[in-house]
Formats: sequence, structure tokens, C-alpha cells
Amino acid sequence: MSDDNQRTLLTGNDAVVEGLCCAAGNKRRIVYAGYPITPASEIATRASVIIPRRGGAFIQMEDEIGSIQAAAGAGLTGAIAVTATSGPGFSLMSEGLGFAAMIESPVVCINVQRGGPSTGMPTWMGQGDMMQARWGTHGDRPVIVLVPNSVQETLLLTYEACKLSQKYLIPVALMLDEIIGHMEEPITIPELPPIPSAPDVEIIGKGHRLHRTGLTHDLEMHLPRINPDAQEKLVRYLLDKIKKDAKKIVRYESFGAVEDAEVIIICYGSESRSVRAAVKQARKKKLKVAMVRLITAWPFPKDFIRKLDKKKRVYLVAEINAGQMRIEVERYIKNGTVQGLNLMGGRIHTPGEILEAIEERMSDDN
Amino acid sequence: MTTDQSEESNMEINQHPYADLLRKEMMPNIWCSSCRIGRIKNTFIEAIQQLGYDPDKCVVVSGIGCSSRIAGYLNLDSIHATHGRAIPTALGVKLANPELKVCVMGGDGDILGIGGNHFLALGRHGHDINVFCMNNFGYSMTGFQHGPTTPLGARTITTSSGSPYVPINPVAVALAAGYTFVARSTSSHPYHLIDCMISAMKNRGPSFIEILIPCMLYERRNKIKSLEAIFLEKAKIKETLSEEDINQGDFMKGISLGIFRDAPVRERPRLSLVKSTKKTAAKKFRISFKSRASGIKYMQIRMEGTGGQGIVQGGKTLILAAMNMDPKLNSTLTKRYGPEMKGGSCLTDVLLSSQPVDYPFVEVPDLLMMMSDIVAKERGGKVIISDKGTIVVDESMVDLRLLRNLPKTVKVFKIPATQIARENFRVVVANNVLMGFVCKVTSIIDKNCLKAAILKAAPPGTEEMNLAAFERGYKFRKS
Ligand code: SF4
Repeated sequence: MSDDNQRTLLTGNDAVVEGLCCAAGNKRRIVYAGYPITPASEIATRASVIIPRRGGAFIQMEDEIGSIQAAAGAGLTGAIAVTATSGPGFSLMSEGLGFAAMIESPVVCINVQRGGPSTGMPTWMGQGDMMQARWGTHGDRPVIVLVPNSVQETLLLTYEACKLSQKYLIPVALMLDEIIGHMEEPITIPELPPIPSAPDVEIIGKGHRLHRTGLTHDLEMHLPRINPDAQEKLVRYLLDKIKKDAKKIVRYESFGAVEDAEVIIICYGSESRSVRAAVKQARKKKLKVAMVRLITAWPFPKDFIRKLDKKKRVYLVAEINAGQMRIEVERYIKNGTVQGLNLMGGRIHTPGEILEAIEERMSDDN
Repeated sequence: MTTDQSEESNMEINQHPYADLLRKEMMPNIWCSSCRIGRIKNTFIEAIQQLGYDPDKCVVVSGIGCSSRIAGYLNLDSIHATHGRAIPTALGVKLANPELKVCVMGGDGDILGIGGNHFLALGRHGHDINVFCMNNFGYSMTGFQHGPTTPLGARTITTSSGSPYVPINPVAVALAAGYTFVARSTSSHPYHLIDCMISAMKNRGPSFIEILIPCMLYERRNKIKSLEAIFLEKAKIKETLSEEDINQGDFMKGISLGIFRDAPVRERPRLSLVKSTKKTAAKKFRISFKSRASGIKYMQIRMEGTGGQGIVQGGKTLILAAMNMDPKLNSTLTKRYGPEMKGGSCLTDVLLSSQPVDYPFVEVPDLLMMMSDIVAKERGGKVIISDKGTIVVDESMVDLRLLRNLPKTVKVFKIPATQIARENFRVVVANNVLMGFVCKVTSIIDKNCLKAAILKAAPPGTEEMNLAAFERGYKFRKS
């Protein structure tokens, strides 16, 4: 047998580009506009080779503000429009993300999270941008945020991000972290159906003479209407796009018997890999522990979490920040106790540390 | 008026020649009655019509400001973007659909102030986008604050006793930034402006027109009766323009209008798409191997050393070899560097497992490959290894005293890999000398699987040397 292994060794950052190619299929143009930043630069490196080769456009912009704007412009033409960055760049993109939401341009924004705030730790992981991804724009906007925990899932969720952005005509954020971005795993590149693009009447260059504005506008013609009624209608419409389909969009995964668990660990991204290892060890010790992993951080799986709250137990939210998603969990848990298991960045917990935290909670209970 | 009073023909008669290109629903416009932005809008329509462009293929992108409102009144595909961001938004449109004619309309504050970086970059990027910049010397929409082009001494609401700031010269900046078409005109010279716009749109590179426009807020605050009159009196349209015409000082004294540059698009170097040389290497050194069930349940492998020793390449070789050997095996590879990339510490963790790998870092290695002792020394001299583990060490680089206090059950194999590499090949292949030795003494991964992996992981052109280094390590015997 020769070298034709079905699997390819890729980093999470590489897998993003493969996911984009799956989403675009053979016909669709990909426009990638980015600006170098650690630890996301490898996405651009690969994109700069692969995207032009398949007839798309790669451009290194002058800054992250330009990058998200170029993506927003490209999204309106029916292309797969994408940009990738890390925390500092993500901060700069806030306005552009709000703009893309307002003009209903499908954009995929990848954030390979590192330790923050500010320059923080460029080469070390963090998960401190979760609330920024939800609220980082002025005004209210519809938000979808996906969080992969493996290289294979990064590819699949990149595809998913393209699909959701094209379906709802909104910017979708894919939040990797430095560990997922840089780790290498063998993956299979699946055959996925090219995703359908927005209808022609939403695309510029098709003779529909569209107007798209960041101003408050009417829903029919998108012409500026600066008054409270128009604002009420528009913002509610934008938010409802996701709200009404939230049940369909929400994704999570549970591990271990959630129903009778005394401690449930809620986590996402690379941290969830440690948690899964710890839960396996705990269950070997006959401890009643389970894990819930968020795949969509936003919309948050609130119905599922609410349902869990029937039983009195401890929820441990393990994340590499000061407790961002814990705030969200606390909103839906009334009977149980919600606690955080946090590191400020640079590394994830070891399975041993998580096991210890579990055992502590167990003995607290008794 | 004809006798036929039917509505239909009435409409024919009343149809404004620009009607198709104006959004009637948006009228009346928001501009002050004395404003000339509307005239710029009309000259633009005139230019498009004279050029015979298909309006369905024209896109106007603007930012924020009085002049940026043009986008809303034109019945074209139009984007009214955020402040300063018209150029990158337009660039995105152009890249996605190059057949579209993309124009940016905006003011001095929008394009040259907050959007200055994008304005510079477009010249360098060289894409066919037309930037029509209406310069009214300040931020008019917010009540007239000073902006990048406010003349020295001019009063604005944020420079009430006169601007102390030296204005930038938009034409000079555009020329320096590499725009292939650069012109200056005013709203008082519509025919000249139409000609400029037509030439700009014919130019295939990034083009820029500075269009001076009067703003009544500026006039009022600076007690000028009519800027329009000044433009008409002081401005001279010139066929040939000199250096002095670019660097004009006070526009109240004289304004040179005309085309400063209309150059062909720069020749771009012919780009050849990167081709992979890996395939040719794979053909040249055909190495076949057999896949099998490895029986590995869970194994933690760490390779550590100094940046530049090929530690990551080594880890990559291992994981690729494991993939070759057992396509069902799960694996991950993670790497860690010290603060410096070269000369700092570096380690690569490879996990092999029959189950999906959870925690992707090695906690206690079963196999430790030490290329140098920098990592151990950073840990205070501690060597972490499982009780039944194996250490393969480059004895030319590692202080062997570090390995003294290990449990008896730990197996230690030594090879002067770096010395062998230096004497026979080059130092950089020491990692594969060590790898060959590891293959021999541990039999974790089949030899041919490893060799095929080396072919993949080695930098192009070095495959042969790396394979030879591997063989040398494989055959190593302590003399
Ligand atoms: S404020 Fe100045 S630029 Fe704005 S509409 Fe009035 S005259 Fe024109």
C-alpha cells in the first residue's frame, strides 16, 4: 500500500480554509480579506495559496477594520466572504460586524482566541472573547457564534458558519482558540453539498439596484428611515431572524449520564477536551459526573440548561476566562449552584485539576 | 405641449433624462439649498451615461457625511457604509465581482481623515476603484469641525480662533500613494468634472479626484460670501500641470485644476501559483509500507529540544508515520515554544490512542526524545518520564547527569545524533538520525511508515539527506 491515506494531517487553522472550500463548492467565489495576527496568521497563509488557485480572491488588507468591511462588501455579491483574526483584531472588527448585521451581509469571521486583554499573550490560548462575540457591537444585533473543539470539527463548523450566514444573511463568528488553531490532527475532508446562496434579490450586480445602509431603514427597500417606528421594526426583525430559529440553530453535546449527574461541567473549545478526560476518570471512580459542551455559544442552549435545573446539583462552568459563560448559565439555573472553574489564559486545565475540582464539589455535597 | 393629454405620454414628456438613475422615493434630499453636492451627483450620472455603462453593473459605495449621502439618491446598487470605510467595502465588492464598475463617493473627513489608511492602501493595492472625494474643508454633517484639509487659520467649531493645523494636500497624497489617475476639479466646473470622471473611470487602476465644494457652514464661520465665486475666479483649468500646481498653498489665492496623472496600470509581475514539490519527491523515493492494527491503546510521546533542531518536524514525522501504520489510530500533535523561536526551548507532544484523544498534551511521556536539555533545565533539571518509559537522548547535546536519578525501570538509549549529523550530513538532520535510532530501539512504528513520513515532513529538496540520516541512525551501534 502506498501513501494514499484517507486522512490528512492539518491544524485547526488549516481546516478553516478546507471548510471554506467545502462550503464554496466548485462554482462559488471565496473572498478572503484578512490582516496578519498571531495565532490566526496561518489561516491567511493557507488561504493565500488555495483560494486564488480555485479562482477566488485573497487580499491582505491594511488593517482589521478594512478586512471586515471588505468581507461585508463581498458578502453582498453572493460570494463566500470571510475574514480571520484574533482578539485585538476582533475588537477592531466590532463596528464592521454590526454593519454587516445591519446591511444583512453574510460574513464569516474567525477569531482564534489568545490571552487578553490588549496584546496579552499572542502565542498562548484564551477564551476571553466569548462575551465580546455576543455583545461587542453597539446596538442589538443577531449573533451566531460557533466553538469547535477539534480540527475535524473546525472544518465542519466553518462550513456550518458559511451555511448559517448565507441562510440568515448575518455575520457568523467561529471562535477557535490558540490550541485548536495550532494543534494538528488527522482529519478526513468530507464531500459536503455546496451551500445555497442568498436569493438574487439580495445580491448586488444582478440588476436589482439595491441600496444597503448602516442607517435605520425600512425592510422593503432598505432606504433610510430615521424614526422610532422604523427602528422598532428593523431591530426586532433583525433579532427575530435568529430568535425564531434558535431551537434549530442551537447545538451542544453531552457526555456521561446528564440526568442523574450530581456535578455537570459546562465547557467549550479546547478546555472541553480536558473536561472529557476528567469526566471519564471520574466515572471510572463511580462519581456521578457529566459534561455539557457548547457548540453554539450563541444562541445559548438555554432550554436544555433550564431543563437540567429540575434537579438540585452543582454546575461547574470550566472556561479560560474570568467566568464569561458562567454568567449565562446562572441566568437559567435557579435550583442548582453554579460555580466557575477558571484560568486566566495561557493553558487549559489538566484533567487532574478538573478531577480534583469535581471531587471537591462531591465532598462539599456530602 | 401636445394635444394628447393621456397620462402615459405626459410621463414621457416629464421624464427627466437622469430619472432612471435617481431614487425618487428618496427625494427631496437632505442637503442645504446652497449645497453643490447634488451637482456632483448629477455630473456622475452624466459621466456614466456618456460612457454608456450599464447601470446594473455600476456600484457606488460611500461612507458617512454630507457627500456620502449621494449613495442613497442614486438608483444603482449602492452601499452606505460606516464612517471612513467606503474604500475597503468597495474593494470587497470589486474582488468578489470584478465585472462591476465600483465607485467610492465621500468627503474629505471620511476618505482622507478616518479612512486615511484605506485611502493609502488602495493606491498600493492597485485595484480598479474610482474615488471621488468632495473636499469642503471640514466635517460638515456634525456642524463643521476641522478636518484633514481645513486651511491654516480657518475657523471651525473646534478651532474657533483659527485652525493651527497644516492641511494635507489630497492630490499630493494620492500621487504619492500610487493612484494611477489623479485629478482636481471643483463643483463650479461641472463640464471639467465630467471629463475628469470619464477619464478616471476609463483608467484601469485606482483613481482619485479631489472635488472642491463650497459648504455654507464654512462660508458663514469664515465670513466668506461665496466660495463658489472664489472657485470660479481663482481656479484655472490647466492642460499641463507642474509640481507647483500640486502643492498649491492657499486656495483663496489660486487653484490649479486638471489631470495630474493618467497612467496605465502598473505591470504586475506574472504570478505563478505555488506548486507542490512534494509529489515529485514522493515519486522519486517511492517507499511502500503496510498498514496494520498497531495495538496501541494510549501512548504519550514527547520530543524536546532547542528551537531550530527540527523538534516540530520530528513530531510531525512521528504522527504521520503513525497515520501511515494504523489508519484507525487517533492522534494529536501540539507544540510549545519558549519566548524565543530560535534558540529557545521547544517541545512537541504526540498522543496516539485507540480512542479519540481528549487532553492534547503529554502529561507523563512513555517515550521521550531529548535533543537537548534546555527544557529539562527550565524545569529545574527535572526529567519527566513514566516509570516504564523510554528515553532516547542525543548525548552530544544533553548533560547526561540529568538522567542519573531515574527509576531503574526507565530505559535510556543514547546516540550522538548531532555529532553524527554534523560529521556526515548537516546538523539540521540530527532529528532524523535520532528518529532512525528510535525506530530501531523501540519498534513502536514500522520503519517504512516512518520513512514515508520523513518524505512528507522534510522540507522540499532535503528528502534524500533526511532519509540517509534516518538510515544512519537506524544502523547506529555503540562502538
Ligand atoms: S452642511 Fe455643507 S456640505 Fe453639508 S449639505 Fe450643507 S452645505 Fe452641503
